Amino acid sequence: MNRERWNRDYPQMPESFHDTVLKEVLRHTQVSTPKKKHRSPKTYLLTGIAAVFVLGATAIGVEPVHKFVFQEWLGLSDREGIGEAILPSPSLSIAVQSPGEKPDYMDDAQWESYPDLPAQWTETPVLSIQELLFDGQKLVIYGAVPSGYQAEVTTLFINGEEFGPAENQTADAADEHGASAHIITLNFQEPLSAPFRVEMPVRIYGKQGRTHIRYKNQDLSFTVDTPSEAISLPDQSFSLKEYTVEVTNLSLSLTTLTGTLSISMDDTQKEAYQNSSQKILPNTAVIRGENQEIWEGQNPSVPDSRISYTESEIPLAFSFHVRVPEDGQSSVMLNLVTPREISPDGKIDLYSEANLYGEPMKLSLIPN
Amino acid sequence: MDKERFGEMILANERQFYRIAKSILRKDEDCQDAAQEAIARAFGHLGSLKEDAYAKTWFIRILIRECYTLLRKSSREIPHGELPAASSAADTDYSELYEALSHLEADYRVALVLYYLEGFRILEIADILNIPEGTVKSRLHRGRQRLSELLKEADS
Repeated sequence: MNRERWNRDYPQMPESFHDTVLKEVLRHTQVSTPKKKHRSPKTYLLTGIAAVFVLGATAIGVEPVHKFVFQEWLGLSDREGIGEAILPSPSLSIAVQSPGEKPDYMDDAQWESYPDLPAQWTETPVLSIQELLFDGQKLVIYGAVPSGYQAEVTTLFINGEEFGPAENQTADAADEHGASAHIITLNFQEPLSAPFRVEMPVRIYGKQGRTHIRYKNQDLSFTVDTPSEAISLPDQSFSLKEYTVEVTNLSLSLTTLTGTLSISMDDTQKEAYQNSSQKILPNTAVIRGENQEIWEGQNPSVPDSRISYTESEIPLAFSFHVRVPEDGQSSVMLNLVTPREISPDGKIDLYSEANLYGEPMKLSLIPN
Repeated sequence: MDKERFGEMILANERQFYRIAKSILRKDEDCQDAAQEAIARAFGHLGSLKEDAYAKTWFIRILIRECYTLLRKSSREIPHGELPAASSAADTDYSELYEALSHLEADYRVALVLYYLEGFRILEIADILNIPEGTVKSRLHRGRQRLSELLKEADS
């Protein structure tokens, strides 16, 4: 087999592939990197339609609001014992002021092109935070801006440290009042402990006919906190072709799901595994075991690594967290397994990365 | 490994990743989807990567898994992971080699591409595919044999 021919005749990478890879890599490397406190001249997008507002700069006391979408997905919205994250009260006063101050990214000519607007106050919320979800490593802020206004968020501060740019998304659907929904997502490189303080400088624009109006910058601040209450879930066992998975010590809170996993084989399963031409056991790369067991696949050169694995009952502690929903899509990422969906009956599919048979494991999230 | 270095590794090897994805998936759009999903998954699990030296093979393993997942889930389902025997009119005009390769089962295609095109050793391929070395050798042997036959048929 001529390698030169392979190189010559095999399809070449199209530019679109490079674009996709680059975009995806940037999405993960730029968003989650905390930066030194500085003002960037680059305006990061944020919402869409027109402007206004001033948010009551400080959350004066916090209180739980709203039922969480995720909670409802789990069918646990009325169940006691699962707390809610804590948001600023939606009754925070919101006002509009003008004229504004020239932002640092505008030159004088640009700024002068913006007409002045008489100072005014309004009780109408021009940016309302509707839901806030936090899972330990990710914060998603759902907000709405009414028709006729636009808000820009260039960066956020978490406990005083600049974190940005945030990943902003504008939902396609508007509500019945014409307000557009906006989602801001923050991915934290390291797990963040609640409570923490979020400060969000917002630039506000309005549009009157064809004229864009710039309002004074406003800061929105609030505290994110999560309750510690959790409920216990029953132990569960899954007997698969070549191994048995037992999940114990399961505990579910609003933002986390934790448990202990052990994998074992009976004689029949061992035999099936040893005769298999394909590796079906989980790979070490996706398991954080307390004992750092050597698994075949991670280090195939280790003699008898397969045998060491097939010894029964090697407990592997694992932890996993539920990622908050974005755009209506749930996503639950686990170190070991990836539930693809949450079913209406409160179960999630555990998808074993290495289970080539695709055997289902339905983990029930319904308490005893 | 931090995210920046991992991102650099991906960008530095993107051509190789494309060719591996292309061994399983015929359409470039599917290769892009698989790569995108694999990158997202890899970044999400980066903490579980224990040795920086294994980053590339670790990612390739994730990419291959995503390609197989996409292959299975595709509405344009191709039975048993086998690519269509003949390209449609709207399909890209591929070389004789790639068309012949497309007639093999996906397991053989991946093994051949990893070995002949990307230059991985048998031990490395066994690690990437999570299969015994003997299985890699047999896939290479049978794949090579079948590919030669197909190329001869095409020449005649």
